[in-house]
Amino acid sequence: MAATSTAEPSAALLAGRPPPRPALFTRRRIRSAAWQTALAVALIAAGYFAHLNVTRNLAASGVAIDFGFLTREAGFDVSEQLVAYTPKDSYARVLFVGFLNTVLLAATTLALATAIGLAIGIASTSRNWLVRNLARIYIELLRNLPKLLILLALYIAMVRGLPLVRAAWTLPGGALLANRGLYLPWPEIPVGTVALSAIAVVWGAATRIWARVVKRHQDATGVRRPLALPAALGLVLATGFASAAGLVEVRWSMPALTGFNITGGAHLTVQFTALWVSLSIYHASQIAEIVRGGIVSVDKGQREAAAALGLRPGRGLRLIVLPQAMRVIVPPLGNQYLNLIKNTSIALAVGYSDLVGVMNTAVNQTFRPVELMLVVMLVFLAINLSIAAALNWFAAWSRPPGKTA
Amino acid sequence: MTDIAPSLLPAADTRPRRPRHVVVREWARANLFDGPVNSLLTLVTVAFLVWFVPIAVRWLVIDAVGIGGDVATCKTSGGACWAFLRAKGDVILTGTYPFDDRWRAQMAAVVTLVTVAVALFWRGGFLSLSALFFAGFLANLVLLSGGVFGLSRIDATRWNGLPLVLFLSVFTMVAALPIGVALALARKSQAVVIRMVAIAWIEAIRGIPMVAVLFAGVFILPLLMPPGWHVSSMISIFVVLTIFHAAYFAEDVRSGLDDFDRGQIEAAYSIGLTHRRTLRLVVLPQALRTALPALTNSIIGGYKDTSLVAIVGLFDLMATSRLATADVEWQAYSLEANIVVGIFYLVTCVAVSERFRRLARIAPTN
Repeated sequence: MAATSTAEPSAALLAGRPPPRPALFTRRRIRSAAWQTALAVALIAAGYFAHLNVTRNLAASGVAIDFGFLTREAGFDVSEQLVAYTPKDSYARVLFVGFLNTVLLAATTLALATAIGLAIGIASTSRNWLVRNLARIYIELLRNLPKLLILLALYIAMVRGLPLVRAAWTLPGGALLANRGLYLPWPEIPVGTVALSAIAVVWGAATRIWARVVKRHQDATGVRRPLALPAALGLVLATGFASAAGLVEVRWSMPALTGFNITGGAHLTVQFTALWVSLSIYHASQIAEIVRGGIVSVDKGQREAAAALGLRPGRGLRLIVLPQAMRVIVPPLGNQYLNLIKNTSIALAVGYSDLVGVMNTAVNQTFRPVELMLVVMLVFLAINLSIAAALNWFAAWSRPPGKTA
Repeated sequence: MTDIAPSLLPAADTRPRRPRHVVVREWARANLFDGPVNSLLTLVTVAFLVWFVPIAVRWLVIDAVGIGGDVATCKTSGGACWAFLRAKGDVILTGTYPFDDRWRAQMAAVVTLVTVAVALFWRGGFLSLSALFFAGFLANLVLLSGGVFGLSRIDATRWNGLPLVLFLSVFTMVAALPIGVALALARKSQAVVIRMVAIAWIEAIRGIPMVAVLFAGVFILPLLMPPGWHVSSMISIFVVLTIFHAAYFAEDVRSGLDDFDRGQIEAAYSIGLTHRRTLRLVVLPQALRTALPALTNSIIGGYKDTSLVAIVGLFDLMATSRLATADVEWQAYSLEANIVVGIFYLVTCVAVSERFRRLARIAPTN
């Protein structure tokens, strides 16, 4: 009886028994397995031949794949560095210098692009006709230009158009701009780094506690006590008292012309400034479009309800519209951040020593493209994966309770 | 019937027409001076425009030397030097392409532009569209490379400027689109090996910058070939760009597949369609339409980013602009070159994205 039921499933169904499990070897499964095996074999063969060709090609130029060269002396200089570096240092060190330059450029660009993008995005939904249309023009213009064009135009304009160091332009706040770059006032802390970090920690904790108290009070009574003002005041007072007591000394190092060069402050090279500004304004246009889409996606009634409750437009935007828009904004914004980080590699076009730029020089010197490209690719994959993980975490964290998606 | 007809006409406006200046004033009050914040914003913006627009207009038009001027007047004028374009336009367009054969490079660019324009309004099927692009590709090769029909042979290193940018961006993306679709399907496949290969391809490419991908094409691809084979950097770049675009297209198509309702597949099976026909007739047309906005973004991005080939030593429009200003006589006018190249990108990008936006709105059947 059991034998006939597997041979004739329809009989089993008619008899009201559960249908038998599908056979292990159907034609479709066999075909699929055959295809997969064929693909796997083809890939292994291709990989083998690729390996063979690479070794033979490299052997023809007298090298073999070997990461040992990373400890050898690099022998070339870089445009700028965040850690001590001389041409006598190793290739590993110069790659690290390039990596830090990439991180610096990416982080500063991320901040500036987000700030400009948010402002332009909000402006493009403004009720003010002039502001709204100017913002739209900005978005459309910059979204449709290649980033390399923006970078090169700005770079050449800066190199040619900016004055010599002798006649540097003074910007508001004491910053200097010349054809050698941007010189910013920079805080110096000769005394009391420890005390200052202690103040920062205590201030951070106090602000958090106060924020909780404010929230609990608001939940209970609906009255919102001030939060930002006391926090700012507290920080100013704490540092003020500490410096009055001589525990902390903060000085602004101002850039100034001494002799033939500008000293003091923080110096951003022309290459860095051009990259920073051009990548920021380029990505700001993309971010602005994302922000605009997010704001538009929030139902108009929400804004009207906020106004009906007596919230001023600014607060309605900040408390009602933006938090809801964030849910639409965050996923594409994350993609945009990943693009931005990858796009820092156009730095090579103006000679800024980022990771890819350093790699390029090293490849030309050592003829070890395989090892160096592998290192660079792994670094970028690692950066990307960590950013993606951070964004996923943020998306989960910012999701309101009770919502699954 | 007669008593319904009048109500179909718009009701005549019987209100008295308000004078024009009142309309303008009310519009301005509603759109520009709506509260103190908006009024302030308007004033700041107007101040910016009053400062910026005259400077721009003066530089671009009033103080500029026209296209018929010469370099001597350019040096004394404070404005743009459009005469530069007459003198160096050829260099910007075709770079180091042999001077007497320039018409071939120009023709190649026109052929590509026409191919794209025709394709954007194509009403035929997939096969004829592929044939169109293949014809455009062959025409480009014949014109640029020569060696047949009595055209002299010209090395790929001298394919510069506009024809290069168009050739690389258009035909790599056309080749990448079917690969991208296949990758997206492979990523959804139940076969482990196929899925893994697709995921590795897509994620590895999307994880690294395009510049690094281009370097891989220049440095690594030739090493993969058997010893003695010579691969020009043009072919390497073409191949890696195709691989690169395919990964991005695959993710866009996947977003379309993700939105797809499984019930339709079951319905297709139940009316007796085979697996392959279900894919071709039911799934892909709808998934591709859903993916069209994302694909548009990738296509525009890929087109703009083709300019990055300049970093690995190919002469795109930015590189030829630099070539044009390498002449000491004209070296001060790179901004003029950048503006013209920028306008070209702006016009083509807007045209293509507008067309795709319209395609996404009307229901495509193919």
